[in-house]
Amino acid sequence: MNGHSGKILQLNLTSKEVSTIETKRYEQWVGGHGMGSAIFWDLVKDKAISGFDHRNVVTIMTSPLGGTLVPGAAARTEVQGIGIQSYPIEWFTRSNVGGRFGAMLKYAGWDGIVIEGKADKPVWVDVRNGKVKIRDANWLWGLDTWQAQQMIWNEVMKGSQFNDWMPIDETDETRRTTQRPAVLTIGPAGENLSRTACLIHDAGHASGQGGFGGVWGSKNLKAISVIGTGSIKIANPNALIESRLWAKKKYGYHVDQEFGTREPRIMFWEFPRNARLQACIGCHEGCSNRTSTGHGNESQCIETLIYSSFDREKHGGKQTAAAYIATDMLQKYGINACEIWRGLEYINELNKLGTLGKGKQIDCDLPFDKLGETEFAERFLHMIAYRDGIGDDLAEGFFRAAKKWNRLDEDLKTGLLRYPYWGIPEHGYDPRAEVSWGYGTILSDRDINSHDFNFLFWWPSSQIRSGKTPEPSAQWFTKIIAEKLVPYEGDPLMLDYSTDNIYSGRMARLVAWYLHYTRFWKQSALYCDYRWPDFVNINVSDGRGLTGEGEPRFLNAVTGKKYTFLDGMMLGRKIWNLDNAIWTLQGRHRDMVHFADYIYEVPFEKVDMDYYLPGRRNGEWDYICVNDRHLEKAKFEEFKTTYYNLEGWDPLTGWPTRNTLESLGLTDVADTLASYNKLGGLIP
Amino acid sequence: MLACSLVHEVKENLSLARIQVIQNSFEKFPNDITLSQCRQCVEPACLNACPTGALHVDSKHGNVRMIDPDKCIGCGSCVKACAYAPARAIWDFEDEHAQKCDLCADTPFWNEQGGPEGKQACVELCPVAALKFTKEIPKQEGDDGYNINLRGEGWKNLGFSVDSEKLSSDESTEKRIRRLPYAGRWERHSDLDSKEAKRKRERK
Repeated sequence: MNGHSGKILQLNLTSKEVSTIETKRYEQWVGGHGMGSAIFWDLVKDKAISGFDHRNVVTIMTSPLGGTLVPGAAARTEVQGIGIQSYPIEWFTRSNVGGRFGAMLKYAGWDGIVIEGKADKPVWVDVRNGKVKIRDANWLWGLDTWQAQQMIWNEVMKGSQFNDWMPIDETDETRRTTQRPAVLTIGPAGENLSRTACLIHDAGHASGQGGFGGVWGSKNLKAISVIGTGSIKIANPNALIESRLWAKKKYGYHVDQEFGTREPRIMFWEFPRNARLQACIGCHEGCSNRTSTGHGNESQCIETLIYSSFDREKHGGKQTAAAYIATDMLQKYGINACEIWRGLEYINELNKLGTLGKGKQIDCDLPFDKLGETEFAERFLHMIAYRDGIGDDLAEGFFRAAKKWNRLDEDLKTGLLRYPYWGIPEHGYDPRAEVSWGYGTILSDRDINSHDFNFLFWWPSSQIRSGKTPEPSAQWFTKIIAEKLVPYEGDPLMLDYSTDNIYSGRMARLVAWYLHYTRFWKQSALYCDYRWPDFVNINVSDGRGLTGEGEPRFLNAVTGKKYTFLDGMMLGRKIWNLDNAIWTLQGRHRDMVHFADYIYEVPFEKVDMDYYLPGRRNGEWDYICVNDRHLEKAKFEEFKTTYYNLEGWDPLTGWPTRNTLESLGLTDVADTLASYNKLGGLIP
Repeated sequence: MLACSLVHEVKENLSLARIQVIQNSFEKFPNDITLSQCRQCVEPACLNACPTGALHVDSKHGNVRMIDPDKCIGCGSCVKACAYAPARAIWDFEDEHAQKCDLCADTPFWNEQGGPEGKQACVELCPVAALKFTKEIPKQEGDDGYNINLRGEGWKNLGFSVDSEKLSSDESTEKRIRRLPYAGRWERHSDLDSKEAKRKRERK
């Protein structure tokens, strides 16, 4: 397929064997998550192993769009395997990372990397076009992620000053580049097998959730470096460039139209003015920045949340450099920002309660009087990365730390520990309020982290907080969005977040759409979550965004195929079924698909502002306040039954059924589930 | 870079792009990026070094300095002669001839008129208006004529310094987050649904 490089790199760290998988063998999945799940399915015979097990396989997959001009799609790279973060089961999970790693991988001639086995001593992988070496990493082990990358740059490019053309291979002086190698690496947290460890690329691009940093650490894999000078073939270059200009002109993908609808920089700290937008390769907007101080380079979203509020609180409402520096340290140690964000909130509360602190029940020598200062952040992050003192507990993740401290049940009952699903930190969109996020998470393996519908909260809530009446109306937004919810299009009531509707079949269809769209278009075709979908767009006179038309238009320009938007949604459903088959073999049953107790027992309290979402009140659309709501456990049970039936899964177990799997072309998956006696029964 | 290789070569290849952008994630702004575009020199050393006339002044396309691949013998003299690093004349190792920026005068895979009188793919595609084509010959000595501040209202509206002097000295931050990241700017279109409602009323 055009857009593919044609080969997937297979690395066996145990035997040091380097081999190749033809991409064509997995072409039906297009790329990314679909390919990763299919390869994992084929290679990992016993799926009920720990993420630390040497038989665990980690896939790093690109898509046909990687390294191309497709807006908000060229950079994403999907990482999959059995994670080590979730609880009670270490689910087969995913994360993805931007920057330029995936694109460079394709320029080197590879559509993905499959990592098997475990090295007997630390190694790094040196990829220069088709030449791949598994090399000794003793000289890199112990370095932070930024140091390791720069050391590898210098090793690969032999002391180049990086301001001129450079050969990447001494045997061929003609193939030259001006680019630095793209490196994905772990820091000390990963080396020390922390479940909070992630993979870091460049200054602030991270594959965060899942604990893949610890998985790499367990495999003695420090880093993968890639540099390439090859080409990606495009089926219809004129269509691609014209489509990009179409998006720019019609939908405002340009600085003078402020990039369409949303604020480009996703940062929750104060915006440095003396800076530039920083974009992943090929992207039409930057969501982070590089600054004149060098602090906070490339970090965004939750990474910018971990310390900024503590910094302001400590300094009389004024933000200092401490917030930026703390985030830089997080990236250098290679620690998951979500864990630190919710985890630091948690132990701060325990400290205020007098339970955690020096000489307290949970003995911890962190200087809480310095919380908000750089000194505290350094001590806190260091102890996690190096398992120093109580950091040994925290490196297991704050959920497992609470369990060790015998606080888990109580703190999940009260909600003091904001880990509502699978031992994963709450992402900012509470399941009691924005139920689609919560359902999409508990029905999968990790926080869904797909921001499709969040603006339905941010926009009205921020307007109402400012004393304004939010317009356009809830009725208008839901109508426009509903038009794009193929194959369930045309039913705005799917977007009714009122309590009467949140357990309905319509909400089940919204969640199914959400999961299928995300699995294919965002995680397999690898359109960036931040930029896509584009449901509504202020640069278009009727407000309708390019989602539905844009996704297949760009994909077809690159591949020369004729995918429709619906084709992608159906592929998303197929991938979703394959994932559920893997989770089923890992031990999933509907009985364990539940939120933490506080989601059912404690009313949702607003954090910064009242939580408004579209919904109907007395039959009329409005933005309704969903503060003070909690979920009803029995009704959620009914919702699961509705959802499983919609997916064609066994409502008694939540397992896939033969009928459904065969209808999707997954007969072999059905046979395997049957052999484990884990095939769902017929739907009543 | 991606637009350049796409319209000229029908493929994406950073090494074949005739404009090079070199980045360092760990460097401070503005030194984190080096933008290296062909200057279309008044006295082009690359052209003077070409022994076959492959690299020529093309009168059909506004005197742009461009290469005729059929005449190129692969000596690499133009690449070596370029006074700038990285050299703006490049070696196309896939098709084995030298290549350089032609201001998109010859873009077989883009249905647009290029050259000095037309459009350049890099300029058209740049989402942040960081590139601009000019017919006025910039100051040739040093980099000042080429590294100029193009930041306009769009940048300002996003909370960035746009004033050239402040660009090198402003250490301030926006005192509050300008807009909530996922909220959008719907105030500009607050009448969208009321327009629709009005149309409906009119139809009735």
